[in-house]
Amino acid sequence: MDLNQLLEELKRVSGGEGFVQDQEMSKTSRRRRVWVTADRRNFRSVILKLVEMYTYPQLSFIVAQDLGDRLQLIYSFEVNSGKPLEAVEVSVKVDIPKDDPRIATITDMFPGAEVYEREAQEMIGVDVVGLPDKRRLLIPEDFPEGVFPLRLDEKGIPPELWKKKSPHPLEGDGNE
Amino acid sequence: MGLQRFIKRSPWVFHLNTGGCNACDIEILAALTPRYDAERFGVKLVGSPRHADILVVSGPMTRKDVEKAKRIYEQMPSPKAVVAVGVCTMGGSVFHDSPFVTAPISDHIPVDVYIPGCPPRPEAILHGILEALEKLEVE
Amino acid sequence: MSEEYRELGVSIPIGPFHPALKEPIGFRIWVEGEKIVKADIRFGHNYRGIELIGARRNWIQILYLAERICGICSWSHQFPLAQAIESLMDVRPPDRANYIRVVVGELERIHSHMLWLGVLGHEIGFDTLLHLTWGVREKVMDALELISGNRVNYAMATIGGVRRDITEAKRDILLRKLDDLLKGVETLRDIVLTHKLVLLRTEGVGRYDRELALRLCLQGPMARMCGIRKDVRQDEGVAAYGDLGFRAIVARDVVGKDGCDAYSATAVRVAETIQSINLVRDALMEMPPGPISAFPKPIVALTRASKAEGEAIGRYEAPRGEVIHYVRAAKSDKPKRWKVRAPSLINVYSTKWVFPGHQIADAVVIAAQPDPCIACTERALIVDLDRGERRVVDHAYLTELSRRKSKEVMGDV
Ligand code: SF4
Repeated sequence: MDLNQLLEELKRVSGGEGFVQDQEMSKTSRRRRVWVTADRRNFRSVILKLVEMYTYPQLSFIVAQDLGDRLQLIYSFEVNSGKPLEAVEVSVKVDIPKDDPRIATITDMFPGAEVYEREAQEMIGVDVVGLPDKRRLLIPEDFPEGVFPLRLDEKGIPPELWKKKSPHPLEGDGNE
Repeated sequence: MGLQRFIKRSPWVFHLNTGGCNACDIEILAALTPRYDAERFGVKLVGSPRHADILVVSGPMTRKDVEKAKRIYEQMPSPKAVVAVGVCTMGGSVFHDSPFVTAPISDHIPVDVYIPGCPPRPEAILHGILEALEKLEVE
Repeated sequence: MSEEYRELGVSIPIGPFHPALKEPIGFRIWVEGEKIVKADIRFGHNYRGIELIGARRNWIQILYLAERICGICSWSHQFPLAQAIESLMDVRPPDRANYIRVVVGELERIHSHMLWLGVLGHEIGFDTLLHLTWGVREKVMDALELISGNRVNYAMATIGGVRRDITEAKRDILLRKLDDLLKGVETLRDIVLTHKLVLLRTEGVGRYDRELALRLCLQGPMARMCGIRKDVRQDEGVAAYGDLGFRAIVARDVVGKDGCDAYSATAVRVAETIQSINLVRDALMEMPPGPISAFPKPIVALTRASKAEGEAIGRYEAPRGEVIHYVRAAKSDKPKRWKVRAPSLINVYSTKWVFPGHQIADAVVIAAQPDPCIACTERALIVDLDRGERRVVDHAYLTELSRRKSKEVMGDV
């Protein structure tokens, strides 16, 4: 399927925006990416649409990030895997408001998503509804509760936890 | 002459990774396998700190590992020596400003020999262990 | 064993280990008698906050941070990150750089697979194999040293190309080394795939099925041992793999069937090692002349990258599976967000579904099957439901159990 067609299909389901990246990498191969935004309420149907169109899209990862005024999860899937030089990476971006950081799980469709959702949960403090296992995955147990390392606001790492002055400070880090 | 130094004592080594990138660890292992063959000096890797003369530490000491490393050090019988492998142990290397690491490790356990490098070569690691051996001899 | 031991046992790396993950892992196993009924995987002992500090480095510095995520896959993390940044800036590396990328990547794969084979040998009490593979592996390390000047952490990838060229003289030495290497690996293959002990201890152990592998989205050799012909090198043709006509190997190509077990995993990895040697040779032979980087100096790349904006994903097939890097840029010399997905995260986590039903003595084989960091598997907590007692055992004990079983099964034949 043509990338733009795929994007249109997905946009129809999600009602969001999107764009296509198609870049040359070498003589024969191209880098193909499709980005589409979705809503918290309908991102599952976008993913279902993908499952419908391609048998077994492969979940690549879930990016969790803090965009300042909101949180964002990016669900990234590889479709056409197994077909030489045809793979496309489809990323579904879902915005989550900071005051109500809830989102539905996708572990019913992709049981392997459990590990990524647990990671997202502890890194930026989203609340994945329906996730069977809510324990911390990577962060040590003695790390203070309610601190999410990748948050860029007051819920992020407080200044006193930074070991020392960093030579590479970040604005608003508290360690400049 | 030189050889007698090694024959007198066969150092048993306990290896502890405190969160490094493991390049150091595979080099330590490479030092033990056929090409570099540390066993010719009697160097042997053991599975318990209670049997060890030398503690070989790599990595920037993550928060989770501090207590563990201290206890392991205390468990070792005296005389003992600590060899720190890699620049991670000295100041954290590329991880120096992370809130999750607590390098240098000499803040937590006394270090006798530092082996710089990221990672150091197996020859350097062997040399470091033999230096530590000298310390054990003097005591 | 006492509570004290439990704490101490946490992360005592014993013997050969090798981490594919950003972090080591602990396995917690519940048993009934000899049978495992439940397993839980815990990560986090090596959590260094790499993604966190990565947002405080500039585009060039972050490459070296990526390299130190894992010392064994140093290329496999540096390269997809470089790709992601290239994608942000929309530059295409010159052809020669693409071929050199294949050479370095495949050499790394050979040494990583050899390492794994040695670990497997050690776990089942076949230490001869450990020393044999490490002997072979040293030849690869020499080759890498010849190319990059360092044995591990080669610092070869950069934005827009590679940092060092493979000169004519080096190429000849490499080609000679490869013949040597091929002989060594072929001997190993003949030993491993037919040795009774290996067969007895790996066939039927750690059995997945194709459906499960697809649903869990397993990566790399773990998918290919289930007959899923999936490989980023083939699907996306990163670097020069597309030009070289690369095709992935699945278990049935090697042993005739997709066993989805530790034996198939071994077969796939051994066959891939030989394939890699051939790939390196092809790449060296067909390497076109020309520049090795799209930018004359790193600083030029940095300035260009600092003007980039948007999001990009870089992918590469590491020895253990697909490594993905995501970066978001906003016209700054630092990434706004950098996300790393290591394949072992899911591959190791998936053992949770596979442990139940196996014997404790097989636990180390299952744990080693996805090629994780053994440094982390050395600690397991065993809860015996039969006797209602909690025991914590360390890796040495589990390996001992495994070795005892090897002796027993060898006694049978
Ligand atoms: S010193 Fe370098 S090679 Fe060694 S563990 Fe640290 S980062 Fe890795």
